[in-house]
Amino acid sequence: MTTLSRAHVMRVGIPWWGGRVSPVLDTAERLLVAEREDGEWVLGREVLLGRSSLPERAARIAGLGLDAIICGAISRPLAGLLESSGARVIPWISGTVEDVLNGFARGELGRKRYLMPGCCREQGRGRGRHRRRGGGSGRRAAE
Amino acid sequence: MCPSDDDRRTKDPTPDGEATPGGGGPLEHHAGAILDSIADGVFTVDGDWKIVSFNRAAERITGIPRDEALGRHCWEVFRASICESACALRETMTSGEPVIDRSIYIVRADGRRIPVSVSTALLRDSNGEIIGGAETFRDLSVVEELRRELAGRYSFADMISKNHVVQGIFDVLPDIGASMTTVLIQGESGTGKELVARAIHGESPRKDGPLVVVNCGALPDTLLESELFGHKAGAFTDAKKDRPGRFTLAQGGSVFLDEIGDISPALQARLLRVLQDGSYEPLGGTATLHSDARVIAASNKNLSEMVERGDFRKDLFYRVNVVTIDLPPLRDRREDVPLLIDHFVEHFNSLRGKEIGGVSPDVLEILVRHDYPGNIRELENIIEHAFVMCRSRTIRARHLPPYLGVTREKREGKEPASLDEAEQRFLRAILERNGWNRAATARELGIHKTTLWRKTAITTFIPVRIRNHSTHTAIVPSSGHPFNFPRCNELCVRSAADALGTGAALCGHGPHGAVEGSMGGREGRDRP
Repeated sequence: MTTLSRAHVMRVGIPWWGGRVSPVLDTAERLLVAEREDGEWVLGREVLLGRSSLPERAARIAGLGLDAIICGAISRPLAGLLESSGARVIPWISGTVEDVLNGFARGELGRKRYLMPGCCREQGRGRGRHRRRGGGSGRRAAE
Repeated sequence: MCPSDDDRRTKDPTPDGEATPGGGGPLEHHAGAILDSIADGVFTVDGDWKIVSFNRAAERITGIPRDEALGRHCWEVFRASICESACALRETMTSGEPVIDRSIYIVRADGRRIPVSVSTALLRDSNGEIIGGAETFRDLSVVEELRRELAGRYSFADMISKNHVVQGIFDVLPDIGASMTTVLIQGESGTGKELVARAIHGESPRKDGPLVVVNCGALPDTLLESELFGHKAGAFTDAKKDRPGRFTLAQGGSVFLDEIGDISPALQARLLRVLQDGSYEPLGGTATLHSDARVIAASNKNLSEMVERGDFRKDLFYRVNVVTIDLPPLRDRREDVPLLIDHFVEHFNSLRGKEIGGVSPDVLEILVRHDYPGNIRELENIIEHAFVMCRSRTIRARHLPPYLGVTREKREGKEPASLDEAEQRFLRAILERNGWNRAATARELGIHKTTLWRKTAITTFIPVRIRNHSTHTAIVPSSGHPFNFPRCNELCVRSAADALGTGAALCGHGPHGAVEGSMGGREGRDRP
C-alpha cells in the first residue's frame, strides 16, 4: 500500500475577498486554493467562481478535489449540494485568509476568534463533522 | 432617526462590544429606545465598517445578539448577497446618494436565506463630515411566503408549470416520493430532471438523508466506477487512501444517477447488481458492502431505443424503469414561458440586487416563439444574459442574445413602415430559418419558388463575382449568405438586373462556381 506521510498534499479552498474570507460562499466570486505540504503552505492559486448558480457553484467547487472548504456564511441549499458531492465544509469562519489558514493548520478554527457572530460552535463541540475534519486535518498537516 | 444622536454614537465606536444604541447620555437612551421600537432592522457603521448600533429588530431578523454584532465588521454580521460585489452602504458612502428598497437576501447563522429589502443613508457630524452610514432592512419572508402561496398553484418544490402534462407529474410526485421505488426520469437536456429528482427525494421518508448526485456522462469509465463504489488505498496509482463511493455516502438517502445511458456495458453489469441486491465491492477491495440508497436515474436518451440497439442492458433497463417520468421539452409547453420568465427575473433580481420589473411585450413574443433546443436552462441563460445587458427596469429586445434572431429594426424598436416592408422582413426571416434554401423556404410557405423569387429578388439581392467565371455575375442575399446554385436561374437574375437598372441579364448560362465575395451593394456591379 502506498504511504501517505510526507508526500501527501492537502488542498484547502477559501472564498476570498480583499484578503479576507468572503462573507457569503453563495455569492463569492473568487476561491483561493491553498496547498499544504510537509507542514507548510506551499502554493496558492485562484479559481474564479463568478456569478454562477448554486448547483454550478457546488459542482465547480466539488470538482476541485479539495480536502476542505473553509468559508464564511453558507446557505442550507449550497451546504447540502456540497455535502452531497462529498465535499467537507468548515463554515462560519471569518478573518484574514492568512490568519485562517494558520488557524486551520493548528486545528484552532473552532475557537471563537475565528467564528462569525451568532455562531456558537465551541472548541471540541458543535457540528462534529466540520470541526473534526478541520481540526484533525490541520493537525495532521502541521506535523 | 435623529442625525445628531447618530453623530454622537458613531464618533466613538467601541469595538469591544460596549457600544449600545442607547450609548451613555439621555438623548442616546432615547435613540436606543426609538430604534428598538422600529419593526425594521437598523444598524449603523463607523468609517471602518464596524457596527456601532444594532437594534432589536436587527437581532431578530439576523438571529445575532446585539453584543456579538457590535464592533464586528458589518459584512460578518449582515452576510448579504451584495456584501462582496454591490454593497449598498458602500455605494451610498461613495456617491452620497441613499439606496432605497433594494431587494437582496441575507444568510442567517442557521443557514436560512432571508429575503430583505435594504435602504441606506449617510451619517454626518455637526460639521457635515461623513462619519459612517446607516442601513435599515425589512424582512420580506412573509411577503415571499404569500407570493409563493399564490404562485403555488403552478409550482411544486422548485418547479414551475401550468402545462397539463407537467401538472400531472406534480400530482403523482408525492406518491412516487413516498413509494421508495426506483425512478427513471427521461427528458431532453435542460428540462429539469435534477429538479424532479430533488423533489422526489424531498417527498420521500429519506428526505433528511443525503441526495448524492452523480453525472455518469461526465466521468470516464474507470473514474466513474471508483466514484460510485469507492476504492481502497493502493487500488491504483493515485489511490493513497480509502475513499468511500457515492453509494456509501448516500446511505439512508438517495443517489441520483444522471445520464445513466452513457455508462459502459461493464459498469452496467455492476450497477445491475447494486440495484438487484444492494451489494458491491469498492475498487481494490474484497469485502462486499451493502447499499440501502434509493436510486433515481435520469437520461436524455431514449433508453428503450438503446435497449433495442443493444447499447443498454435490457435487465438493467427493467430494473431502472420501474416508474418513468417523461419531462416534455419547453417547446411543447410554451404556456410556461411567461411563468418561467417571471421566476427567473425574480431569481436574478435577488441574486444581482437589481430591480428589473420584467420583459417588454415584444421580448415576450420572441421568447414564447423560440424553440429552446436547450430547454429551460437556455431560457435561464437568456434571462441572465439580458440581466447583464439591461440597465433599465424592463428587458427589451436589444438586451437579448443575438442568436435569437432579433433584427436590427426590432432592436431599435422600428416597426415596418409598410405592408411590403413587413412582407420582406417576414420572407427574410423564413429564408434565414431555412438556411437561405429557396426550395425549402417555398415549400414552407406553400408557394412556388418562382413566386418567392419574384417577391424577394428586387430588394434583397446584390450582384457578386463568381470564381472561374470572372465575366459572370451571380447573386447572393444582401446579408452575404450565398444561395445554392444548382443551376442558373435566369428569372431571378433578370429580376435582380431589373432592380439594378441594367435592363439586361447579368448571368450567362455556364456552370456556377463558388461565390468569391460580396460587392457590397448596388454600386458594386461596376467594380472589376
